[in-house]
Parts: sequence; structure tokens; C-alpha cells
Amino acid sequence: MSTRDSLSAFALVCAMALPTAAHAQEGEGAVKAFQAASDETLQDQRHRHLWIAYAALWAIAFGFVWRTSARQAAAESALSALNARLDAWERDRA
Amino acid sequence: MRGTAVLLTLALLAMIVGHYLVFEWAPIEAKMGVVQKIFYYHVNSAFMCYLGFLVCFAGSLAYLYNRKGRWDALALAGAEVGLVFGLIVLVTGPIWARAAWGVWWKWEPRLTSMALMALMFCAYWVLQTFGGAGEGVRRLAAGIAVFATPNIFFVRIAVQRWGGLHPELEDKSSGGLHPDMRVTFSVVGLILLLTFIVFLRMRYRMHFQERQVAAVRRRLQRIGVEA
Repeated sequence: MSTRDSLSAFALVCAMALPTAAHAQEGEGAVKAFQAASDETLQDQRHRHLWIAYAALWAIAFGFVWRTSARQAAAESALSALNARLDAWERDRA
Repeated sequence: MRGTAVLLTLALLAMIVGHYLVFEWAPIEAKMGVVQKIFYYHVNSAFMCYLGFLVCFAGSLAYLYNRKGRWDALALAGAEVGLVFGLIVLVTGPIWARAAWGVWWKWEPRLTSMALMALMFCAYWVLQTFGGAGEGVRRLAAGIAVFATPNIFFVRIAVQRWGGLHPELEDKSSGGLHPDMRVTFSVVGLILLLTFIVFLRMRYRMHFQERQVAAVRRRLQRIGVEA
């Protein structure tokens, strides 16, 4: 198991634990005073959530494509190198 | 590789079209405001997550039946793509919940059952990735996938059976959506289906080639060319 694989596994498990972490944070940041919010403030907050959600979506998709492409390229180059060694061995044997 | 690049570009362009529909064409929801626009990708990602797990289920059954490695590779690819979409659901969901419900997470039936199902497929993925290349490990993983997949049913019926905070739009005759929202939702669904197919193809090819590398390496070790 390589360090990169370990880090990938750790990152995935952390991401899956996100709901629990979020739950644990519910008690934090308790409201100290009530203030009247303007409509613009509420809309700004909602825009912020929307952008964060879509940024997360793109980050996950790009991360997946990048990681898959990198592993595929590594497998292709390893396969051609190993096949070359196998061919060389078969030529020597013949 | 060229075919993959073409498909990826198509998926990317389609995603841009989808974003245009979501942000410019679909109307803003009356009560929740703009944050409701998370819905289009959040819900469709959940459907793609189910589809990935169903591919894993079918691949695992086929592998248990005929023991051919390509079915196991397909099952693993399906689980991984399902987990990627599941991760999108579990990340965008709490962000939407914070704005709509005021909390990041509620232990309500659909959220809890979805998180549990994702964790089951995490267990499958961990076993496949770190359990070694033995036949027994693959069979055990296939068994986990076969037993984990029916959870999709419980996630789907969770709101109807046990209530919770999730909207129940599908029960209304109109679909519960404004016509423009429904069109956007359907188009985004098709776009994510294309993305799903591209992801699955990429991942399957990657696993297939990695297994070929392992097979050639084993052969070289057998004949003494490689230590």
C-alpha cells in the first residue's frame, strides 16, 4: 500500500465522516443576540451556500478525473515496459 | 484514450449547459431562494449514486457466477463512481440543509440511511483496494456489494415510510415542480448520466489495465525475469 493510497483512503473516510463532524458542530456558535436581518443579507448567505456547493461538486469531479487519468497513464506505461521485457526474454529464449 | 478525451469534453460542455439552465433559466424558488438550485445536481447525483451501486451489484453477481476478473473490475468501477456521486450528495446536502433547515445535519431517515449505505460501499472499496488481489477477498467484497445494494430501496422509501424533513415532491401529480424546474431537472439528469458513463468507462479501463500489469508482472516473476 503506497503513501498516496493511504492518503486517498484517509481523505475518503474523512469526507464520509463529514455529516458526523457537522452534527458535532451544531452546538457551536450559539446565538448571543438576535438581530434583524435584511433581505439582502439572507440572500447573500444563500448565494454563498450555493457557490460552496457547486465548488465542492466541481472539486470532487475534477479530483476523480485527475486521479483516474494519472493512474491510467501509470498503468499504461508500466504495461508497455513490462511487455517490452517479456518480449526481450522471449527473443533471448528463441 | 482519445475516445475518453472526446467523451470527457462532451460531458464538460454538457455540464456548462446544465449550469446555464440551473443558474439562468430555472426560476428561483419562492421560499428557499437561490439555494434551492443545489437541488438539480444534489438529487440527480443521488440517482447516479444508486446507478453506480446497481452496476456494482450486477458486476458482483456476474463475478460470483463466473469468476471472470472483468466483472469484478466493473463492479469495483461502479462502486467507485457511485461513491463519488454519493460524496457529492453528502457534501452538497448539508450545505443546502444549513441554508434551508438551519442545521448542517439531521439524523432523519433519508440522510441516515444514505450515509449508512455509502459507508457500506466504503467498506467494499477499502476491502477491494487494500485487501490484496486474492480470489477470496474479491468474493467477500462481491458478497458485501450484493447485501449492501438493496439499501437503495430503504433510502428511496425512507421519506414515505418514516417521514423526515426531505421534500416529498414525487407524490404530487404535477411532480411538485414548476415546469421550467422540471425541464432543468430532467436535462441535468441526462447530463449527469453522460458524466456517469464517462466516469465508469474511465475507471473500468483503469482497473482492467492495472490487472493486466499485475498479470504480466506475475508471469515475469514466474519465469525469473523480475524479482
